[in-house]
Amino acid sequence: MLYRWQTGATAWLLHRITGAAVGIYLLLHILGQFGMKYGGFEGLRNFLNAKAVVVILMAFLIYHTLNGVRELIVDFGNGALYHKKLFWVMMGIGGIVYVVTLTAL
Amino acid sequence: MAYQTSSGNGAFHWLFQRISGILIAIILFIHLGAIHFGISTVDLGSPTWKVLHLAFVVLLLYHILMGFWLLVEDYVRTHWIRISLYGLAWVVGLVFFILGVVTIVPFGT
Repeated sequence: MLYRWQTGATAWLLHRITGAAVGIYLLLHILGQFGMKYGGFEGLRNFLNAKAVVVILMAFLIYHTLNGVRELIVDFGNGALYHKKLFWVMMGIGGIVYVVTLTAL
Repeated sequence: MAYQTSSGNGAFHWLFQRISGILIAIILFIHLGAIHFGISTVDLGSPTWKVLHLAFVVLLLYHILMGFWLLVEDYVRTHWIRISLYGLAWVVGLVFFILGVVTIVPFGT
């Protein structure tokens, strides 16, 4: 499949990559909590709680959520007219949310 | 080829991927704020939290596995691998649903 590096296509590709990564993280999180209750998976929990992993997770999570909101606006509004501008608005909001998140970690 | 292992209900899945996404974002905000960022002390053994977390698990599994299936539809061309991954998605969904239930339901007891 060919990708052109335009805002929409790049946003779409990033949505898939962050979605896959966050999805795997959340499945492992369920497994880790299962281990908390019944024993085991301590190494997994340590990995999921590692600062480097959480820092990446929050970036992916914030991106996926805000680009998801953008997609909703594009789908249910006149998105074709302003989807690029909206992308950068969302990234601006995301940047602020991310900084706040990191300081709260 | 277009409809292999498809439920033929694409529009519903398209809409529910959006509805589940909105609900996930709301619950995620509550979950992260209360538990991981410790804004307030919470009793995860309370019925409210159990219902919230059970809903969270079900919505997430749907959203994750439907997302996974979209990737399969786009990137996997080989028929038997598609069928296998379709089965895998169901197995993962059922197994993680059970893991979630047996973890959340007895919480705090």
